[in-house]
Amino acid sequence: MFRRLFPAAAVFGALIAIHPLGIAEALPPPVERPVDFEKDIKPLFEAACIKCHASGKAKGGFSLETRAAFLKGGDLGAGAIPGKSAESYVVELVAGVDPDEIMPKKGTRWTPEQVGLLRAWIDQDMPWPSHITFAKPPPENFHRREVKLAAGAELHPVDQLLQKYWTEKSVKAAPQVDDRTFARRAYLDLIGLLPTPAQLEVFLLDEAWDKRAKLVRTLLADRSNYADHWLTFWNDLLRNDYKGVGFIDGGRKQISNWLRQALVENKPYDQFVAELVNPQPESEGFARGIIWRGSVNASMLPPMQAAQSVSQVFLGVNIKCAACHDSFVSDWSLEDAYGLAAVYADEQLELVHCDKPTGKTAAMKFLYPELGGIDPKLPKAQRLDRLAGIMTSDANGRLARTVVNRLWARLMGRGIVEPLDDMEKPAWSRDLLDWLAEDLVAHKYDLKRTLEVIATSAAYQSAVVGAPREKEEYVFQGPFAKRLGAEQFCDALSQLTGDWTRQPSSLEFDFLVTGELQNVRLPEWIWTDEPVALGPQRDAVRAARGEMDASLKALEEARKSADAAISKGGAEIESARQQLASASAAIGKAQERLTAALTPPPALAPEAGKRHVLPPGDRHRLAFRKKFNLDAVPTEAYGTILASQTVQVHVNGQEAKPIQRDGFRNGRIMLLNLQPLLKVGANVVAIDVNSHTDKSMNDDEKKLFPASTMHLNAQSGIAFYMRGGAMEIVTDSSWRVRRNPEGTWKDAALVDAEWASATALPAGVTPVDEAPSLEPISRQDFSSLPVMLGPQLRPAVSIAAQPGRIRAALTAADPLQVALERPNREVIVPVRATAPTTIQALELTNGATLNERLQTAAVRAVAESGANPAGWLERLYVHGLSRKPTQAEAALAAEIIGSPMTSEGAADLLWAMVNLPEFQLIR
Amino acid sequence: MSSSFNRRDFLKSASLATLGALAAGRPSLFAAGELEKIAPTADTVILLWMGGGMAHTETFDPKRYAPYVSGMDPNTVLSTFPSIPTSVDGVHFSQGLEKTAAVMDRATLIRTSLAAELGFILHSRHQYHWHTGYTPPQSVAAPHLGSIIARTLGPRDPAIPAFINIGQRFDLGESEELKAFTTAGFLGSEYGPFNIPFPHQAAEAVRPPGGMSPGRFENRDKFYRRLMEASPVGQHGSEHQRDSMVRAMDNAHRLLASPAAKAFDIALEPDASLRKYVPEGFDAKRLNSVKQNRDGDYEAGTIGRFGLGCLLARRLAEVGARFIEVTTEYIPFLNWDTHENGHSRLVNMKKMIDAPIAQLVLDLEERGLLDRTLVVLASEFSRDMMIEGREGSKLRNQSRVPDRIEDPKYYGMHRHFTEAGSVLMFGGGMKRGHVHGVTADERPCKSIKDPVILEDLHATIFRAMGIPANLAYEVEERPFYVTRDGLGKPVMSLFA
Repeated sequence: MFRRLFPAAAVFGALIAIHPLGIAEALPPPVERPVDFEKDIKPLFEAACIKCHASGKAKGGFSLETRAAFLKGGDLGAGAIPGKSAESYVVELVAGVDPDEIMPKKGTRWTPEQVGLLRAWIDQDMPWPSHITFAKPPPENFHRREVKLAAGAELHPVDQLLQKYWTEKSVKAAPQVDDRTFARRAYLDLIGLLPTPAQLEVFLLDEAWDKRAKLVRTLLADRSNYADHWLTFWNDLLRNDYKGVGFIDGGRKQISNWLRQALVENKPYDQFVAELVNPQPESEGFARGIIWRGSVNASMLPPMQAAQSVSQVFLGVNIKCAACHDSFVSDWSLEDAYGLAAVYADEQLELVHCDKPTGKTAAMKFLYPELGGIDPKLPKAQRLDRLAGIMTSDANGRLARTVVNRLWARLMGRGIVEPLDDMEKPAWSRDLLDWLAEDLVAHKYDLKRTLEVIATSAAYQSAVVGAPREKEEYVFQGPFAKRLGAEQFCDALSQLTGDWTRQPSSLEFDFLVTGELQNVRLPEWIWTDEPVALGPQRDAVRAARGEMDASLKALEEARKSADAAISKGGAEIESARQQLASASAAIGKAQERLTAALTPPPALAPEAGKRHVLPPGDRHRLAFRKKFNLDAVPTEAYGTILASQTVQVHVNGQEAKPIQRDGFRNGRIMLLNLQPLLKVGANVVAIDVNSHTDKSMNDDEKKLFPASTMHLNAQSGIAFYMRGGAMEIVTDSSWRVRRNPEGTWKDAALVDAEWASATALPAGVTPVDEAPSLEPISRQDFSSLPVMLGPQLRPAVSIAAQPGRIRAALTAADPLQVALERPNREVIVPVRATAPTTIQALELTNGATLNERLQTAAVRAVAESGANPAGWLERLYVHGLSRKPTQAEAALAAEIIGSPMTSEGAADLLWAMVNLPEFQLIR
Repeated sequence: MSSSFNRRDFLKSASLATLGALAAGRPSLFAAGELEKIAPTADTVILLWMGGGMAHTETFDPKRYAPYVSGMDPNTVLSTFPSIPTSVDGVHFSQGLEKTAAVMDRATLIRTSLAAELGFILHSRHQYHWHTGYTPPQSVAAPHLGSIIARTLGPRDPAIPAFINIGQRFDLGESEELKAFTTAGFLGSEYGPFNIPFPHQAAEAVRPPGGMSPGRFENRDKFYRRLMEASPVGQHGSEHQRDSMVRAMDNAHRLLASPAAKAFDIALEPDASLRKYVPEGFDAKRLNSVKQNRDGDYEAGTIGRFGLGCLLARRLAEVGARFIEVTTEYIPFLNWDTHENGHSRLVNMKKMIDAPIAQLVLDLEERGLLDRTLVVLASEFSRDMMIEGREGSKLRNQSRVPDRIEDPKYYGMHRHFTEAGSVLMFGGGMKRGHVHGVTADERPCKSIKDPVILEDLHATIFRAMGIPANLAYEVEERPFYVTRDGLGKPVMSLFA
């Protein structure tokens, strides 16, 4: 009875001293029958004890995960003594002998009968079958596991594994679909487009035995269409192309171009994940999350968002509950969530339990410590590098499983594990999941390989099956029919109507870098060297800026060595300190020089109290011109302008209104539709640049840049690009420039000789959008000016040069897409809602977006095919449904389009077509 | 085989339910504790939303009146309007609300509604909180009160959307913030709002698309159905999806073709009745072009929009709408969002709301609908001339108050106040002529007796609709309660 000597049991001790036999008498008697652990005791433990004393938790040092642990007891001594229930402390606790020490602490007290059961069990020497434990189970779907396939079998690996599964489940595989159904399914699933009648024809006529596999490979090799389709999938998962709150304060950064590029290049998935977990500036939007205004709940602070997103998307682990409290539905604890968040935090994180600070500091760790630890002493960059390494390490079998499961679900309509974000749930076929995962790893994380494997299986090519009834166990028998997503629907609509938008949601998509566009002549940045009077000052600014850049770099170096020195300790710290001090001093000097260079000559200084706006007709207004001849007007001509100042583009005297602008403060990157302004013969592009804005500045801005400094900007420049067919017009030094031109300068008739030649900016000089600030762009505050225009050039040009169409995923959501469940992505969307809704049906029935598009298409259809309506409607069927209309359908369709064909009739047929379940479902 | 314990297993049944719900396409109820069976006292809720922060001392809880005098001390100003009597002895409103005062005998007035402390005060955050019961941001998309009611009770008439939202545009300031809570969130868009920004154009939302005659519209639909029947594909495998698509189209068509759709058409309202909802000189044609400015120079056209919204709400309640919100419209620095010119602006705001509220109540009563229709007027927080947030808070002041008021533009309640607020309720089982709670007569005019927190206000509304406050829906395998953590407690003393 040594336990009773423990101080915490002092009261007890006293009690016993007085009344040594008291306890045994106070206890309910043991039951008088053999006790079965599994039947009698396990349920008691589960109901009352395990919440605090199992699954890795051991409150008071006591765990009852195993018999041995139970015997060992906790801080207060042994838990139980076999054969001596009256002397076993745990019995006293559950019996409530001491009113201050009763177990369970929360919940219902044990009945005397229950205590009697426990006593009997202890008295009967505590039989405890060794296979029963209350330990935290090993993680599901986690460890790498190779699945052996039958040697020499010719069956597709997926089908081989499914054959075994189906035999076990006594179900039969669904029949294979015909070629038309397969083609439509594969096109829509892999590249998100309908097969065109011509593409379908080619496929149907192909007599190769492996033509389906060939088609799958061909589709996956279509890099642009593959990327533009899967962009939707990844946007949903990565919360990218987010439209919503958080932008006001620069709280959100998109990763659209990085993501699209990764898809075009089919970046290996492990590298893809590493670049998102430990991001470069182009991919940091994901881990940065969304920064909301105002006071934000601790569980939604950026490091915690990063932890939640990383674990949910890549590992199928939901720690949203654990971000506030130990999860009630899984084994994740508050410490787990904070452990991961701490990796992303700039400072130490305090654990906050349901908005109440606990005073405890988060201990940095990965969710699965078995994969390795992260040294909290490392600087953040190295911690993230380490985290990325752990996530993508060979030992992490969860990474590949999570993504192959998502891809399977995408193609089959349901995952091997469901929900897709809870990979702790068992797979319906462990072999299939593990084989797919290992196959992905074996193929260097090539996601297209996994898609190919799935899409070439007989399972994928079998007829669709119905969803299980409620409460019915899911058994895979074949794919579900899937409904077209918003983007798929809109792309299919564009295919049927032939009308595509040219307006991407962002001008940052770069179609050049991916090699999708070739033979594009990049424009040069141009400006003027006049007026000479300001030349020296500009040079001084340039020089000072260079000096500033150099000293900032030096400081960065010094910081790095300081970090290194601090982690090493010792004498190096002192030298690092000196290095830092001298770098800081250099910056101070550079700053002084820059300020001096930027101080305007007295003539330009504003009068006290006046607005810092130059008068109209200021000498810094610049005009650029370029003449060119056209033998014919191209059918399509788009252009782009990038400018460091407010700008207008005129073609043949008419202003070209932007169809899209990327806005920083003044939106000086524009996409222009120039075709309507072009004519045969002499044409002129005239660009009007106002080197001041007409807005008043706030106090901070006035302090930051005294009058006129922005007009002395060393980094002014414009670039223009236009393409129409083979014609390309780009800025270079053949352009003419003049200050404050007057009269008909936007006219082609003007003689260029009176104008000076434009100056191409030296290589490496990057124009800046209204560069008012002297600070380099801070990554924490990316939305602030200045914005470097240089990196924007190629994307903007590529969008103008792009001859094709902009797919829906790259456009901004319109009311139709929103009604069709394109999300705004405030939260991660692993699976979109696909159930039809009334409000959606209303939008489809009387929404302006769809009806206007159908109307336009119908007018064109009448103009182009009015003479052969039967041919038109047959093509419509083949394109929309991948099959010809039946006789009955053809007759009905002919009836509605009228004879002769009317645009109303054509619009009504188009409307009916896109609303047919057969059209909206991928079967 | 290990029979080791994992708490997830407890949720097996819930997960099965989830699967079923997935198939059915909607989130399922979370099997939590005991749910009380509540007999509803209302079938419909009409929420009159005073977006932008309505000062209680200038509306339904007047305090000592301090008329404008140049050079006055702002500390002395509690109300900028004199008070007026109401139809209930001893209960006073602020001048300008005479018509509403005349129906106070049908009302329950909560004077002590507290706005949450959410740190730096932003309208959109408090509006989000008021409408969802949760503080933004949340890791799951929180549904709007109307969506919860729509999901839980469904439409009263299948042809009328269960959640109709009148008067708010989403292309003005802070529109993304507004969208963040004007949504069904994780409940799914089936329960989302049917948005009608301009009440006089409501009919267009339920009419065939522009330029299409009713005859052609009917034909198109018939043809569509015949074409669908003629399709040789889709006889097996995906009946469920096919059927649900057809059902959705049926619903849309039913709404567009239903006699109930006429309720959306305000033009069908007799002129005499319409005039009771709008000010003199009102011209619906001007509604789209009218510009409001920050000085509070409101044209009758603008003012009439809310009145039309109330009229539309009445028409929709008559044909069986479930949840309707009518807003005075939140636009940063406009309407109730008075950061200056508070007094003169409120003269107009009262013109905007007074007649329509009273008329709505009288019309509902006359039609025998008031007893089963709960009308709730509320705002995201109140205002005070001096105090930002609450007394002693360290929040940044969001409007300037000079030491002496020498310009009428400083005369008014310009700061955001969270310690009291008025909520006016009519019908739906609430008491008549009842006042709940007391606020101080001196600054800070905060709640000093029977304060009501938002969770409890929501619980009261839910209870009237027969919904227990601890009802929860499952999202990502966890419960999402209709009031925060299921803890809302209805204010039982408000019920008749």
